[in-house]
Amino acid sequence: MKHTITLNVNGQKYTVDVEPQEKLLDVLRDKLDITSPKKGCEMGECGACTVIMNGKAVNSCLVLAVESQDAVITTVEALHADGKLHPLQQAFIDAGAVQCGFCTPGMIMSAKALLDTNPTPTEMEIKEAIAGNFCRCTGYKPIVDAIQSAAAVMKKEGA
Amino acid sequence: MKTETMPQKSTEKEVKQVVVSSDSGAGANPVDAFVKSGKVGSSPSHLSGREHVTGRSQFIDDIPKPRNMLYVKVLTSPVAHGIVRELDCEEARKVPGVKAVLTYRDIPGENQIGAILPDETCLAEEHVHFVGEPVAVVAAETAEIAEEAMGKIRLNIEELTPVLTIDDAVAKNQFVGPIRKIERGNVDEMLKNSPHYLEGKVVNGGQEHFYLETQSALAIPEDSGAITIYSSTQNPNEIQRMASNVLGKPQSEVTVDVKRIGGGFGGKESQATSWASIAALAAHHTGLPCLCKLDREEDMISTGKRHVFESTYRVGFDDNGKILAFDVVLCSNAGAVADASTSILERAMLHADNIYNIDNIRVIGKPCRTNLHPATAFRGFGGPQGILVIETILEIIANKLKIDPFDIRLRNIYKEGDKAHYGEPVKNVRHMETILKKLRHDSDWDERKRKVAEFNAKNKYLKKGLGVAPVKFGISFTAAHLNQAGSLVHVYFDGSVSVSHGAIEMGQEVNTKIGQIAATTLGVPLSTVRVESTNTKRVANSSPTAASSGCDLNGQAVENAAMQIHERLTEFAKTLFNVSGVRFEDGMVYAGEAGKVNYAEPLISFNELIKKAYFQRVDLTAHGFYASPGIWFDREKGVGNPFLYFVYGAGVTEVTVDTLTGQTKLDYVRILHDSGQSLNPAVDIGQIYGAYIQAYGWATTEELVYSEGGKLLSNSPATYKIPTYGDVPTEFYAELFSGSTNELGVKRSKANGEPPFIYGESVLFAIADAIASTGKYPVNLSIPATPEKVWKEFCSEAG
Ligand code: FES
Ligand code: FES
Repeated sequence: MKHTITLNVNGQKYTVDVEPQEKLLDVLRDKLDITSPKKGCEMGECGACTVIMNGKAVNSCLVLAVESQDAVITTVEALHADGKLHPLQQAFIDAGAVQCGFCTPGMIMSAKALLDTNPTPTEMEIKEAIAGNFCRCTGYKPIVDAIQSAAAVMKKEGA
Repeated sequence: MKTETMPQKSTEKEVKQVVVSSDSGAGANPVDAFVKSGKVGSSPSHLSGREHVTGRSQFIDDIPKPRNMLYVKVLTSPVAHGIVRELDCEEARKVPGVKAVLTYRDIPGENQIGAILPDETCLAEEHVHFVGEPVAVVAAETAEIAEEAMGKIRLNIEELTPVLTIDDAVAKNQFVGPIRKIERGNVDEMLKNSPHYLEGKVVNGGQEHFYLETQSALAIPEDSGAITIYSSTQNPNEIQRMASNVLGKPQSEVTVDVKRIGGGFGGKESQATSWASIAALAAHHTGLPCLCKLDREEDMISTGKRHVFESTYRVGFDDNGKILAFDVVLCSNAGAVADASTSILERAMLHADNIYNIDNIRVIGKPCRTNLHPATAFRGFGGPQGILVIETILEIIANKLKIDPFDIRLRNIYKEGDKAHYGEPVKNVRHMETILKKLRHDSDWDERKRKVAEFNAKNKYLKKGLGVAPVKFGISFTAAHLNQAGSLVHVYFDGSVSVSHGAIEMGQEVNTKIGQIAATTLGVPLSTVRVESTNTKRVANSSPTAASSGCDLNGQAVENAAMQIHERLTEFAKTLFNVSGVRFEDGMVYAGEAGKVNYAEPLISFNELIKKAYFQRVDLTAHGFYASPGIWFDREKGVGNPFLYFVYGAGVTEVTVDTLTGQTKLDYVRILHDSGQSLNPAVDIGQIYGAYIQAYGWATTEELVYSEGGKLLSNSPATYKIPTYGDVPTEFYAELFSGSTNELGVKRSKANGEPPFIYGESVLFAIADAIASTGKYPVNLSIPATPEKVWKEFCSEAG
């Protein structure tokens, strides 16, 4: 039986018909054409599908679409405004935290959820925040460097 | 992680070093724009960086779905070995929304996709040879319908006993290719006469690539029976060749296009062919676009992985730890089909010496055929397995004779002028010695060793260990014909540049580097250069992006094309301005020759010059070509010159091991790596980090587990553990060796993708060292040194 849900993605309101077993990831990708959340495993292990839902980083492959009724969802597409990259995006480029790029949108969203609530994370806190995001290319070090330097930039800009 | 120290700093330092030495000395250049302009030797950021961080970069599944596109699902064999008694698709065909259900009988061309040896069907016929082997194909309007129809195919297989292990295959004489040998000196004699003798076996497990983007292909029917395939592949040429073979079409009617892939690591060198051919077959039959994308479990079960090797050795050595004779039989588990196994074994055999001069050496290689998924290319391509044997032996000898791990390596190392066991001179090997000595110094090895001993004396349950792993990695495909590349460069009327080449962008930033090469050669800013998708129509007969050679070969081909245009423009400008020489720099054209360029006053801008050249009918397009010189290898005799040059380097690892859980933590890693005159130091450093962590996973946690029947049980990220951020060393330093250059590499650089993988073997030796600190000898560890195995070693009595 189809359900009709309304959700807010990247500041825009959408009303879509979904199946009860349909995942948020599929709705975003197939029905809303938002393809930055990737299908890496579809079982909640790799983090490639990470989006921010109501302020928290979630694996959208594990969220039932019906659970996202009225939810506010942010994907990496919404991070840059007027051609200016978000400090995290810029830092990922500058630190060489992007190789093949498949993990990048999910990784950035996990980092953003962290910095939104904790602008000055310790290394341990960064570790925890991206513990669920796989990257097979970079060896992670440049990613952590990027998150740290983005935090520093954001602090300066906020100050 | 200590934030106040290194990488960034080391990268910057390296940038400077490289910039200084790559300036060809053309007088005073007022434009301090190396980094900005993206010349070779600087570190401009990822050409697609902006696309990636904004979520706009497209992978196969992100391409907007064409109208009427069908979803393809593949029914694969559930058993490792058997005879197909029934394959009935009638019920499946009746499911509404199903457009085609296909078996090998529907293949219009030849049912064959084995590129090196023709032993691999696209769809199984009477026999199935491994779990996950494709048998039938469903194309339907939705993935769900395809799935449902797949469940209605009746497949009955009479099971036969599978051969799963190397021992079993050897006993049954089952090999995917010939047994090979490389030999020099008098091994048997010397083994008898050596003061010390050891024999043993070195075993390593396989490894799942776990590229984040699973195998995917989208096939689109075009005009007049042609088909275009968008594939996540490292090898578009092979797909073009094999898919056209399967479809019974000329290659000219099949186009393969690749913008980028979400990781490859070798896993999409030949293993993408199957799914692309299947998508093409479905598109051919239905006349509609067809997408075949594996889910993670399907991908893990069906596709190839790193080879398991079991190698038995005998070695003779003297009191100083100098190896006098070495005899090794390398056996690889190739799985059910040849794939690239013969070449991979060959590379393992050619790396059995690693950096050591052994006068009496015999290397035998046996590629065993079993009923497992094919084993395939994976970063290092047999090199890591070959090197692991000799390095393990040195560790054992060092332990036995109480010799420092650095000392024993330096006592056995090649000297300049020495030849490898297959006869090729080991050129520039003097750098290897310098690297080892510098790394020993930079890592405070001797002091560190003292502190580790002190720590171990004080701690009962935690034990530290140290390990070092050097590498000499031969660059070139050992199949000589693959060492060629083509390119196509256009300069448009407005001065912007389009570059096509045969390599695949998979995160190693070959496009960034090749963009830099084109920009530098033409003397234009990198921002005006666009590197295109890899397309078989623009560049034909390309080699796979593999063997670390993507940038080496294709970079030279692009340099060649850009040079042709540059020369035409030079002649044109000289005549136009009536000057004896011109120099192109950052989009401007100056008068003068090297060393005497008048930078004060440009003659004209590049863009203006192009307009004038166009009107004077100067050809602004060039096709470039490159073939590595002097490469040959006689497989029968085991001699030759298979490599253009060698990459050198070494890595040190310090670990802490918990004796109660067997868990390993990386405390300190330092790597010194030779990139020649690096094209892009930041990219090269990034490759080193990535390769090391990937190898750490292979060496410790990544364990492939199979059922008795040969089905992969560790078939998801829940059961197969690749490294996560928690595994990153507390202190992690990678530096490029500044003393090297490379006449034979593109712009004097060295290839960089695979060699750093070897450094991860130092993790195994560090763990063994921690275990040895309890007095255990010999330590019995194999890759992967899982916590369970490590814990067992600690528990077992010291011998
Ligand atoms: S796709 Fe959602 S966690 Fe992997
Ligand atoms: S950049 Fe390739 S998986 Fe992270």
